[in-house]
Order: sequence, then C-alpha cells, then structure tokens
Amino acid sequence: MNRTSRRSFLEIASLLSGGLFFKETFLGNAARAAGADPQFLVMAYFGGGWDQLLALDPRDATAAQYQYAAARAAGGSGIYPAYADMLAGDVLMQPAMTATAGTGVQVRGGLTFGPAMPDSLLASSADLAIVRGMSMDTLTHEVGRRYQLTGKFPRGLVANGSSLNTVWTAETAGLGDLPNLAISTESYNETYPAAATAVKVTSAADVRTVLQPQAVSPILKTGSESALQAWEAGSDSCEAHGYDATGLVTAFRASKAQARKMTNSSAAASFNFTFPVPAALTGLYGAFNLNAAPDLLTPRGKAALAAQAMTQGISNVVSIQLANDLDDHFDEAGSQSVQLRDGFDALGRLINYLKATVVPGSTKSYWQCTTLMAFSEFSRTPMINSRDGRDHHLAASMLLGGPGLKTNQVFGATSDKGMNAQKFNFTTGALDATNGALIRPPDVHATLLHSMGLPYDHLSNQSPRLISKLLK
Amino acid sequence: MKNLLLAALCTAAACTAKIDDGGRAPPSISTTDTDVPPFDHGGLGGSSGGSGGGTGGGSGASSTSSGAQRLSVSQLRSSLPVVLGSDGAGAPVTWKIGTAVGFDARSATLGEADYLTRVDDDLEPSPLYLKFMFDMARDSCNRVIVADAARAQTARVLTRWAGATDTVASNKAAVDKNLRSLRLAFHGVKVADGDEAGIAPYRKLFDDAVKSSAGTGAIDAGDVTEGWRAVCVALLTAPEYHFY
Repeated sequence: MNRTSRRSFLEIASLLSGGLFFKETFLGNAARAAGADPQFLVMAYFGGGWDQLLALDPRDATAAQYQYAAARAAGGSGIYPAYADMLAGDVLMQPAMTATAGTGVQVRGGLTFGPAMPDSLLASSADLAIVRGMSMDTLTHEVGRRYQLTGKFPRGLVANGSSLNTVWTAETAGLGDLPNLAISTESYNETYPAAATAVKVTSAADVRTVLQPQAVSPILKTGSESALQAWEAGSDSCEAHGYDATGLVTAFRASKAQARKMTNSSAAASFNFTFPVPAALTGLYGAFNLNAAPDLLTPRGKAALAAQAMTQGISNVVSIQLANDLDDHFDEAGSQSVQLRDGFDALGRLINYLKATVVPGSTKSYWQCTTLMAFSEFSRTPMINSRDGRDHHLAASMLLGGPGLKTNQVFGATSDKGMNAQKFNFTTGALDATNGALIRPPDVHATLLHSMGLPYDHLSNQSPRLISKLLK
Repeated sequence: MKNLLLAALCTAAACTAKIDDGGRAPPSISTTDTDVPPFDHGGLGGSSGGSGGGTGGGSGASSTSSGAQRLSVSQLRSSLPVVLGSDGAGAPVTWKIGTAVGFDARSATLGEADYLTRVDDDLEPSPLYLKFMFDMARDSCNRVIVADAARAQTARVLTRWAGATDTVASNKAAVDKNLRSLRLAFHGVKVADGDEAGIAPYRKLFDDAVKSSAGTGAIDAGDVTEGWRAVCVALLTAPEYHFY
C-alpha cells in the first residue's frame, strides 16, 4: 500500500488549491511597473581569467616597488606589471604607454585603467564603476565562472542556482521574442520558469535559425495552424496533470507559447549578418567596424549581435563572451593585452551604440536603461612566472554600470603587496580590516538587482551584502 | 505516491479517464484489437493481479514512481522510428534537416551531452527545445504521411483505422478508433471506448483542420490528410510525448 509522504501531501495540497506551479511565476515580481523604463542587462564574460594589471587594476610601472627585482625581493611588493615586456609583443599598447609617460595607468575621472584598455571603452568611463579586490575563493575556471554567473558558490563544478541573466529575465518579465539571449556563454536556470531560460547562440545565423521555422513542405495550412493553437490552448489531460506535480507541464506550455512567439517573429531578417553588407545593417556594421566576414566571428561581431538583439526589441537580457583564451600561463606578451583590448573594444562599441540609440517610446537611450556586469572567473598572478606567463590568482575585479549605480568610482582595492583581496566597509567604501568584509560575487549580484528594484531573495543562503557605496 | 497524486488531481480537475491504482481499477481496453500494435501493456500488479491484454500478473508489490522528467535527446532520437515506423525504402522515419537527422544536427543546441564540453543532458523544456520540437513534429509528420501513402491500410501509422476520406461527419466511429490508437501509440495512454475526454480535443483539432482545409468546397482526401497532419503534430508536441 502506498504511503502518503510529506512531499506527496504537499504536492497534492498545492495542486488541489490551484497552485499548479511551484516555480516562481514569469511575471512574478512585476518590478517593471506600467510606463516604467525597460530594464536591460548586459553580462560580458572574459574567459580564462584576466590579467587585471593590464585593464581594471593597474599599477604604476615606473614605481620602484613594481620593478621586477624589487617586487621579487623578500618583503617586496610581489607585483610586477611587466608593461614593457607586454609592449614587446603588442605594439598597440604603445600609445597608452606614451600617453602615460610609461606608467601604463590611464586615469579617467575617478577611475584608473591599465594600458590594454582601448579608447572606445575609456570614452564611457564616466558611466562605469570598478569593483576591485573581490575574493573568488577558487582557482578553478569552471567554479569561478559559475560563481560569477550565479552569485552562488558551485557544488563541485556544478553551477548552483540560476545565473543572473535568468533571474533578471524572470524578474523583469522578459521583453522580446528571445528575452534572454546568451551569446557563447553558459547560462543556468534552476528555479525559474523555462520561459526565462537563455537561448544560447554563437552567431547571427543561430539567431535566424531560432527565429524561423524549419522549411518543410508542405507546411500546415493557416487554418490547421489556428486549429493547432486552439488545441494547445484548450488541451488538457489527466496524464499531463500527473506530470505537472513539479510544474514541468506548466513550464512546457509556457515554453511552447514562447517558442510559437519566437518562430512567428518577423525579426529574423534583422540578423542577416552577411557580406556584402545589407543596407539595413550599414550603421551597425560601421559602429562595430565589421568589414569582412571573419569580423563577424570576433568579439566585435558578437557585440554587434548583442546590440542588434537589444535595439531591435528581441532581447532585454544579453550575456556575451568577449574573450575566450585569457588563460596565459605561458608567454603572456602578445596574447593577453591583445585579447583584452579586443574584448573591451567590443564592449566599448556596444556601450556607445546603446548610448546612440533611443528606446522607442522613450526619451532615454538604451544605455540609460542598461545594467552592465563585465567579469572574468578570477585574475592572474601579479608576478610573471618562469614561463613568462601568469597563473591563477584569487582576487578579482569587475566593471559595472547601470542607471541605479553611482559610477565614476572604484569600490574596493587589492593590497599593494601581493594584490590580495581586502576587507572593506560596504557603506563608506573605506578599507576596514577589522569590521569590514571581503567583497564576493553574491554581494555584487545583490547590489545590481537591488539597484534596479529587483529582489535578490534567491541569494539569501549566500548572505549577500549590499554595496551601499555603489548605490544611488 | 503517483497514484495518489493522480487520483487527487483527477478529483480536482474532474478528469474522466480511469486510473490504474495498482489493481483496484484495472485499465479498460480501448478496442478489441489488442493483438496488433500498438500493444497494450498490462498494469503493474496489485493485490488483485494484473489486467488488460499485456503481461499482467500481480506480484502484490506496490508500484512507485520517481518524479516526471523530460525525454533526453537520445530517447527522442530513438523513439521516433519506433512510433513512426519506416519509409518505403525501409529507412526509419525521423526528423531530418536536409540530409542530416535533426537530432544530430541540433544535438548541441538541444543540450545533449557530448562528454567533451557537456557531461550531462539538458532536460529542461525550454522555449528553444520547444521551437525545435515544432520543427521536428512538422517535418516528421510530413514524412510519415508520405510513408503511409505507400503502405497498405493495415500497416499505416497515422490512419490505420480511418479511411482516406473518413471525417467526423461521415464516419465518427472510425475517426475515434483511429485517435484512440494514436493516443496509445504516441503517448502510451489507453483511452477506453466510452471515454470521450481522452480524444475529444484531438477529434476537434482533426475536424477543424479538415473543414478549414476544405473551405467552402467538398471535403476530399487531401483535406483529410491535412487533418491527420495536424493531429500528428499535436501528438508529437503534447506533453505526454515528452515526459515520462
């Protein structure tokens, strides 16, 4: 005889009371009130662990403590920027080195950047904030990446919880046919409706494939499609109810509606990224400097895809990988700075494009409605190793932006010896080794969500702290 | 637990289908033709023994179930030829994109583990999954209709029990019998002869598609085929096909 377990009792009770859906509802939060600005999110991932000395956490390469011998000496800083060494493999760093009189530190307002940061991003520095000295607690790529994506420390290598793009999509009710678009990035959905799940693509061709039904012959006649939709809307069965104890069938039906919406879209034509340049894409191609077919596969090409998805009303949440080979344990010169510059150039162009494009029905630009989180899984050691590379380092940095954030400021810092994470007061931003706290990914996730009035309850078991200093 | 859950659900939702509760309510037989496919498998044994036309036999052990989950891509790839049979050349009927099997061409997109970059199957019923299942259903149904046209009536997959011009108006019994057979073949759901609820939505879909196809003209075999095409797509995109 069957025993009624506590779980089955709860399932039945929930179902009988009409609560056929255990998961949070897609429109659950309704944070986006009628008439309010849309809430876009861009997550930019730099894969492999970036050298933050070259980009978001630079050091003065002319300072005595950062010379190779002094840095290596007992009691030394343990930090060697090696900009001159990098220059040997990447002449495009020369203008930045010259402009900074060899320090390599590019100052823009309240922010400082390393010599690999391109002008296209520096132009938007006033709209950005940097978080430094984050404690990642891992030196494993998959763990760090998934920790940054979800704000929850993974279970082994397995992601824990839903990634921020999924949370954002669900909490903002998702806009467009592909509300959550993941371009060459991982994405996770543990507790949210399937309709909030990212559609993962690698190219514009993938987007077209998703937005168009497969060409078959004959196609169902219009009347048959209408009858099919009516059947979908009215179809019900005991069997389906049985499968729906944990919301699977409800999620299935929601996804079906979303799938039908996306395949009925006329937007596929907006992603005809080809050469010769389609007339409608001339402006986009120009903004992202796309001059030949191979450019479409570069970070600029992917950023252009993100820009098109956002500004054509296809997606309000986009995650995008802008570098994928930063894991330079060997011969970093000529590799790391080139990839960082390419990735940040793509990001800078994306920001500029969003700034130049006005949200329909609004006086604001897309950028004024966009929250940005650019990250890597951790960073690279501040000392060059014996193979002219850098290994994995725990203290990380992030680049943030958004309408709910105070920009043009840096929160946190790595130590001047060893570039280690340090404790800070989250309200004042002051270094506070006694009562302060280490900055962790869940703190940043919670702060970004809170900055836009979105809940961050899903992070409660990570004890997130809001970085008040960053909030408007 | 599952049986209890189903019973509670059907009470709440006023379901009319009979429930196999482990022997107390044996599943009824939809037709008398239980010696031909689709086969009816008997219920798991309960205290009063099994029933139905299958293996039957009760051991007295109660049946339990884990939570429902979605078919993996591998299971889908395997299931289609089983349900849809083979074409005239003996090749399994399945989803094709060009010359490639759709499940292979879209394997990565559908989240199938390749054990290089992905070590577990993505079993989420996501919008992307459903989009490609729409493609799968439309393509596969076209193929099975072509294959059926080359088969004898008794070997057909979609229209074994209904004639080429049978409609709800002209031969409701045949249409209903065919729908019961399809529900059993595609979904493993046995719809008893007296049970209307299990086939009514499909009958309406068939009828609406046929009438829509015919428009103001007389209904012909092409219109009926269009009706079964719509039913086929519905069956392949129903939750009952994708969950177990």
